[in-house]
Amino acid sequence: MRMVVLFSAYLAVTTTAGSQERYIGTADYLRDAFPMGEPIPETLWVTRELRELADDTLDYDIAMLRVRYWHRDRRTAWILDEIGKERPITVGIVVEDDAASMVRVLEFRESRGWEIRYPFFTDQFNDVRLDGGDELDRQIDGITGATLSVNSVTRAVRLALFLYRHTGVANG
Amino acid sequence: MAENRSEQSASQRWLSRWHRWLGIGSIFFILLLSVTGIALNHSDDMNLDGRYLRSPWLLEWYGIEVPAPDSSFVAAGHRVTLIGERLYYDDSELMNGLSRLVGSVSTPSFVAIATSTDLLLVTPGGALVERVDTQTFLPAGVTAIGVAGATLVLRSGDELYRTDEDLLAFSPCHALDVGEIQWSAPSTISPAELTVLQQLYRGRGLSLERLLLDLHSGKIFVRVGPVLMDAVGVTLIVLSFLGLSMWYRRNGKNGKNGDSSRRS
Repeated sequence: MRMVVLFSAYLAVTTTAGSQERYIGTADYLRDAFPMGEPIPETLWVTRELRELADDTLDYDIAMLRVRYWHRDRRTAWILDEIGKERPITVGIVVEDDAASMVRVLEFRESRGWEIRYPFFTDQFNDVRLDGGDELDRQIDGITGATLSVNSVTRAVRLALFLYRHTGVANG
Repeated sequence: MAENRSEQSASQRWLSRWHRWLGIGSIFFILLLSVTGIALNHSDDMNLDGRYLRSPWLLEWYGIEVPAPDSSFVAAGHRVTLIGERLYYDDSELMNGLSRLVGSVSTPSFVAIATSTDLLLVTPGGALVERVDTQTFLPAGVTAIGVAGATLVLRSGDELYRTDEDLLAFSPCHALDVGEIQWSAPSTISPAELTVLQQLYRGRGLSLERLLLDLHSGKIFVRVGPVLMDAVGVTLIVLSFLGLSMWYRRNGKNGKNGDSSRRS
């Protein structure tokens, strides 16, 4: 038996029984973000310069080589995965004219911290922007016991705002 | 008077002896609790949950076992294997938190790996290009992945879907439209390859943070550990009271003497 029992319990908490739940389907989120009809996706290629800039300014390591987004006029939608403690949390973010809105947790896979899905938390990001130091221009109140999940959503919003600046939408 | 003083002295010696031995006996545990406590307080700064232990006897002690591979496929000479929820591309971990590997195929640009809910695009060198949530455009989960010339094809239920040139959009299609489809088929992983992946899997099974937490709480010694740590806690409380008691007796005695000396 030894440690097996204990580790099984640990796994039960951290792995197997993680409260994985899909709250909003991607298609539903995009339908809400673009009521006039879902636009065709586009991609932003993560060049070496962009990766280095993200590392320098956001202290963020973009793992993928391209990031998909949807846009109509100046409105863009981003669906990003951010690791909470061990597993990715899927977050949807709309960015328009450098301001975030409609931040939603689409899928949560961690065992704790699911309270971030509620509007009392996500609504704090409405109209948030990056300031001169590439930080969010507003203090985001945390949730006791959900610090890592709160940090993940905050990171995802910062990344979406950062990436938006490097799309043709922002520069066009 | 002399008898009373002798009794006091005996009880002081008794307290002192117990205080000394309990103190000496607790040193190891106090150090253990202090060091692990300080480390855990700075877990994020020290990236304790990102450091993994590879000691065979520790992994054995924790009973970390490697599940049998879910499935394994080969595309463009690269083996893709899912063990537990960890996806391996050749002998490096590509992603965690996946389930039900469906297959992998090679396109002119990328190696495409499908699970029932995701499509991963990877460079032949193993760099992740993109993770595509197939639930966005498919009504059901992916059941097969194939390639027809340069076109990537997914099967979902009874329907087939093909990608555009950039692997950005998927649209329904008929088998006749895309030509002959080569569907990805499972490939048996060799014992040598499996051993390498099992070692990788076990190496990511136990974080330093978990070990320190279990050392701090005593849970590393299963049932005995927490009881032992409770006993250490009680011992520290007893030590505090013994120390206070000794201080009070000594101080009280000195105070009385001081008072009497001043009076005389």
